[in-house]
Amino acid sequence: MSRAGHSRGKRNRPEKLNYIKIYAGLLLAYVAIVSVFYYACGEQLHYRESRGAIEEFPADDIVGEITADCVVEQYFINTVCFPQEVRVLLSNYDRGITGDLVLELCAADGKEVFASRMLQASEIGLNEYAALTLDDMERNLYGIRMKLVVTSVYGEPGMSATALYSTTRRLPSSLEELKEQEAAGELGNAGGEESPEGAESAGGLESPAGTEEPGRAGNAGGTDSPEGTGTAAGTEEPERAGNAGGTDSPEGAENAGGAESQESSEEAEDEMSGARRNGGLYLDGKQLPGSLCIAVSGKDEVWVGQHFWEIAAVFGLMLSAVYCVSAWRSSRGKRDLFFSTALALKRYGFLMEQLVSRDFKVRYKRSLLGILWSFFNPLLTMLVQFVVFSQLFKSDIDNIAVYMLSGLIIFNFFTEAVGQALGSIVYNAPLITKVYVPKYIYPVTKVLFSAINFLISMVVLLIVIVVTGEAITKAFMLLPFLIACVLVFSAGFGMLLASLMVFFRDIQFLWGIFSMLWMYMTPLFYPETLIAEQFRWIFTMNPMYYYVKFMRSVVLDGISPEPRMYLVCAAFALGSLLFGGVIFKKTQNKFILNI
Amino acid sequence: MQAGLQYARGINMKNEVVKVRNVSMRFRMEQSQDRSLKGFTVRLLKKKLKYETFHALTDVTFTVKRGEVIGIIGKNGAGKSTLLKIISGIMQPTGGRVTVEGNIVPMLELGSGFDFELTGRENIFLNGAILGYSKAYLKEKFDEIVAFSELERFIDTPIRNYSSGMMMRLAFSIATVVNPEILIVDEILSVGDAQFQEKSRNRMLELMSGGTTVFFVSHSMGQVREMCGRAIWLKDGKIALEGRAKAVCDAYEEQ
Repeated sequence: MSRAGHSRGKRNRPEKLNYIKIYAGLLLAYVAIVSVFYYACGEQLHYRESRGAIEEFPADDIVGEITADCVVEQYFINTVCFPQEVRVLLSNYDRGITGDLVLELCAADGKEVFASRMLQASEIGLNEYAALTLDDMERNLYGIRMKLVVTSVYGEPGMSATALYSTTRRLPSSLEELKEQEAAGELGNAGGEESPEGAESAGGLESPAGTEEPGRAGNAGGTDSPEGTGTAAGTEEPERAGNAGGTDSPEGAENAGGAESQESSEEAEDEMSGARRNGGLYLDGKQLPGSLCIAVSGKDEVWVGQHFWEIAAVFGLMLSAVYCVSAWRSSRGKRDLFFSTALALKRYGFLMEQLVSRDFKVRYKRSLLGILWSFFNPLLTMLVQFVVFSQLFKSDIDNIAVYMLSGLIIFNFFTEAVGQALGSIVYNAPLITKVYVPKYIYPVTKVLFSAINFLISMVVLLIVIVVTGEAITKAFMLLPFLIACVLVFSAGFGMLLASLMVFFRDIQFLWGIFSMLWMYMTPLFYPETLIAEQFRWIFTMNPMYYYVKFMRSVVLDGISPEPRMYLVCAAFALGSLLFGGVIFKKTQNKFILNI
Repeated sequence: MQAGLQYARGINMKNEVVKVRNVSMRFRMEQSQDRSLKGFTVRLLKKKLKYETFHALTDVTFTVKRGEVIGIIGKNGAGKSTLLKIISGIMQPTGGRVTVEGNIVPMLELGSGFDFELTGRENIFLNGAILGYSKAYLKEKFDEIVAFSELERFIDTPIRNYSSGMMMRLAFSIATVVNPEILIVDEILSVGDAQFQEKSRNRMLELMSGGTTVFFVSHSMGQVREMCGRAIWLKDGKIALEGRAKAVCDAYEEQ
């Protein structure tokens, strides 16, 4: 079978390109973009909210009055690179108390004190968290075993506070135990969803659980009591204790303790310190089941931030290499993706401009307000949605107007772009059957048209931001990245639907329903937390969720999202473009037979 | 101004601008015109997805040299439009190969490149862009286009208010302002009043003498005899006769 095809030539060869000059321009642009990005990201490039944070958990018991000489110790493994705040749940029994408390966060061996605070009796409320703040970040504390000590200076019985604890929750005391707990799905908090990435950078700090230093053991074993020894005896093997998990270990420990109570005091001391290293809650050296209600929050280091310039340089070199290959191919007259795309843009740029301006003119041609509608339309639409969702339904989101609008304009951009693009082939049939123009021009033009509408909606949003007193920060410089991602994502999706639409006209109706479902599955009108924990995974599969979240991080928090978000956003966009583009390319020769 | 993106390497010494080699076009048309998902699924399940193979073109081969004016004649459904669509790159042939050197400007059928809501002025730019002209070129030639179409008074009127003759004049003026290397004219010269027909005929002759290659489809043997040097008679997707325009037209009229 002969090779079917159609080729075109041009007698005069394409004009000589100055490859060096183009490269210099591109390089300059790359450096500028990277620098602006670095500046606009600011601190978020280096640190993010820790994924290893210990979140608040409910209490079901109290340790009893913390009077003078009482020592409450909670051992735990720290999984926050740079802890900023440790909170502990205290109670004054709802009465006037006089006993001040001392909160102290130190290494499990007591050698190093990270933070301490004198807590006035008057500051202690009924079941309220008291916070212990840590000084500035100096070094990475990931994987260090810590203890939180609560003592009283001169607390008298009846006039002292107490701390609350949970008998069912056991804070992990080693990285191994943490992993086991995660594997067993015990952790409900954010830290449980994925293993902290900080482990990669901080892994070196992790000391093997087995190594025991006699000196440290001696220090730790300060308060001796027979019960303590007994408790400790059962848990001498860290592995076993870890396997036994949360609440079982104390009972097991006590049973075992009975059999081993004859041991010499020195050995007992050793075992005891072993147990302490093994975590848990101790009152005057006696282990209580469960864990003190503490919460730890702070920042994690981000690998990308640590190596930003290296990454930028490597990526730049990769792009340079791609450019060199492209330029070499192009200069030898071969077809090349990069240069042919650039030439196509140059050649069809004017056509795209004309088609976009046609869309604008036609849309508002016979209306009184004309082009102003593209400003009023989003404004009024959003006003209606705002009134309905914020006034009629009670909500506790701060600045609901900006919260909703920021999500809505991103989502509306997407749905409008796809909705327009999906009919672009079918409705341009008269042109497509008469004149040769690359067919992707049609859906891409529609997406660009929607992008301009989106920019006009951005003006509306900016006005609302200023009116409601939100700040416009340097993070706003990151929005072009987001817009580009949504644009590319919409283009890919639009091309996919546009080519399906040629073969099945049902797509237009299905899209109407599907986009509505999609809208309600994205947290636009409601806070993320409204969705039950077990359904949150749906969000993680929804690209629009990430785009909306990115937008809100910039607009509401005024900060860059964490670096991982950029990767996710870009990956969804390119994935969509690749998929949609391939389907479009494969089917485009059949369009003409079906329109 | 180049419609396609593919470059044929090497310069053709024989001045052959269009080479059509063994081109076949086979449509595998589903019989049903129902384009719904439901219809498709039902037919799929009932195993009634019937396809009809239709040969629009079978093994068509010819060569056109620069500056030639080729008339293409034949009955309705003989494959004339399909052939032109393949030459202009709108369709890909199912067999064979087409090589084209130079930019192709199709003279669009009445209004197909126009937007009826836009004014004549806006349509000149829109249509010009679709035909592949650059912005600078259109700005430069704008007055010439308007003058040729004789629509100065109506140029800022939405073209939905134009008569079909006025629209035709505008379309013709836009298409021929450029001195295209290859021009495709699909049965449109009969539109417009006698005076404009005369004017457009002269413009066509001017283009042809200027080295433009023209594909001319018409049912009027008179026009073909007058304007074309060579003609191709298509019958049921095959070349029935190819040769001097006069001879081919005579043969076509005889049968």
